[in-house]
Amino acid sequence: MPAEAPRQPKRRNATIVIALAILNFAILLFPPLTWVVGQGGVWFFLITGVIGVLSLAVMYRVDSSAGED
Amino acid sequence: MEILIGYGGIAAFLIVLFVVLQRTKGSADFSEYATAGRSFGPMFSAMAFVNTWLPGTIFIAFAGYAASAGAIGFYFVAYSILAVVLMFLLAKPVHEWGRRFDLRTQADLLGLRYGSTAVRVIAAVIGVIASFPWIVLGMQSLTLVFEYLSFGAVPAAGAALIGIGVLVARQWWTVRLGARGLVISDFVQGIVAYLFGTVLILGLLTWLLTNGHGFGEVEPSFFTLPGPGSVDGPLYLFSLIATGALGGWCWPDIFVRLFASNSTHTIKRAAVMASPLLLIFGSSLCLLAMAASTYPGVADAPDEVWFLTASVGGPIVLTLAGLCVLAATMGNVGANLQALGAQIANDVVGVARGTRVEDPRWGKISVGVLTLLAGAVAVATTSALSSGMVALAQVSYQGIVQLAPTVFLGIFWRRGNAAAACAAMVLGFATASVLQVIYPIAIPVLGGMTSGVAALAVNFIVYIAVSYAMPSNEDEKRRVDELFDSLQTYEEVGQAR
Repeated sequence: MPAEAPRQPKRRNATIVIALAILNFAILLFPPLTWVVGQGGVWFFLITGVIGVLSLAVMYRVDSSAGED
Repeated sequence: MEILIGYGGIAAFLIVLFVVLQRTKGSADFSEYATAGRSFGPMFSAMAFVNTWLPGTIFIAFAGYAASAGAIGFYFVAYSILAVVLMFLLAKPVHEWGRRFDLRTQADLLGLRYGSTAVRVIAAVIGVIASFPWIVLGMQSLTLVFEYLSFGAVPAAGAALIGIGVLVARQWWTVRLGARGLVISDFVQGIVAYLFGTVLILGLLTWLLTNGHGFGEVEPSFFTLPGPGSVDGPLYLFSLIATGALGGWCWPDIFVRLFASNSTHTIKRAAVMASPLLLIFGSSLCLLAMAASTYPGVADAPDEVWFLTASVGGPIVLTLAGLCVLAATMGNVGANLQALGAQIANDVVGVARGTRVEDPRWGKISVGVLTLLAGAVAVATTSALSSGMVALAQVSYQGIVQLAPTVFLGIFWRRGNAAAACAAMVLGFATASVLQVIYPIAIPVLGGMTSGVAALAVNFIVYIAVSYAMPSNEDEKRRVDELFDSLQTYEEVGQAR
């Protein structure tokens, strides 16, 4: 059991990384989202781009704190 | 006088670059030639990725698409962000397996994962076939640079030949130095093309916005994206982004950049560093192109939007704009030639001879022959150069994206096997080719889905079905389990250290 303790946050962090990756794919590859933006095509790409950049920063932070690599 | 500024600027940039390359050491063996000895840190890795990822035609055809179609032109920014997310996820298995098994190419990794020479050769051949048109297009994309920077002194045909000649000559260093020379030159070229390029874009955008070419003047339809009832079809944009994101890591030149980094951590850090650069540069360029759509001449020649806009700043600004295109093109073409040359030597010649290639001369010969061949095809097809460059780029993507199930499911799913990979790649590539001939742009009955994405659906289904229908034998399962389990072992050893 003692070996299980550090694995818990590690697994949680890995889940966060995967969840953020899926979020990015979902918002950019879910067609109805691009259909409803109307005249906001440019804003759609700018906002999703910023979300992507921020997600990567969080993924890196979480990954590093989990002691990956 | 003006041509002296234009061509002189190019000469000065090339001299600086060649001085840097002359100081770069060569490779002792084939592995170092193909992977730069897995020695580069995050800064070099990030810039090598960006300079390989964004071709010079980003300033021409991609900007032209935004200038002629509006917001949909941003699609390359979206797929670039997704590609970086995938880069983050691929970092660990690709780097760790690469280091442990001395992998040199994408096909090499697939051969290891599936324990199959057939998978390795098929992947290598598809990679070469799909990438070759991209190299030719890259060589031809300098036509506008040398035409504009001659200020009317050199016609388009002559400019095309000069551009091809410069790129072929520049490959002397690619042939000689391999991946190490490329990564170092990518750093210099990347600073010029994307960092300096972004500053130039923002300056030109400011000029446009303050001189009667604001976004209020742009056609309202430019701000909408295709949806139900649109000409392109509701799934057209989805197809463009999916093809770009998944296809990105199927390109041999992009994939092999992961092997040049010195650790998994470096690749992940490089991904984090590359993403804001891609977002800021790409978005700025698209905004510039959209704003410039009302500038005189752009509607008639959208591919020339970058040069037409830069012309407002006079010969020096136009020369700087040309240097951005040149720097971006050299990074992409050089990377492609080096990766394909290494792949042919390692995964075709090496397999045919039944030996593991160790002598870097095989790589040099292969890259040299490919360079001359691409140069000859580029010269022979110069007159075919038109504003359809994006369409040609998309054709290449339809083919290369057919490696995606084999690459991604192979790396992230233990159950996939060689039979599934071979069947999926061959059927996917054949389906994409047939659909592409019938539907060059999109398939109306599938809501605007492109041939590559439709074929990808077939490809994924075949891969999964064959993986379940023809499972690997126990020995192969054990081998694959050990391969995946070894990633955990590295992690634990790393932490113990």
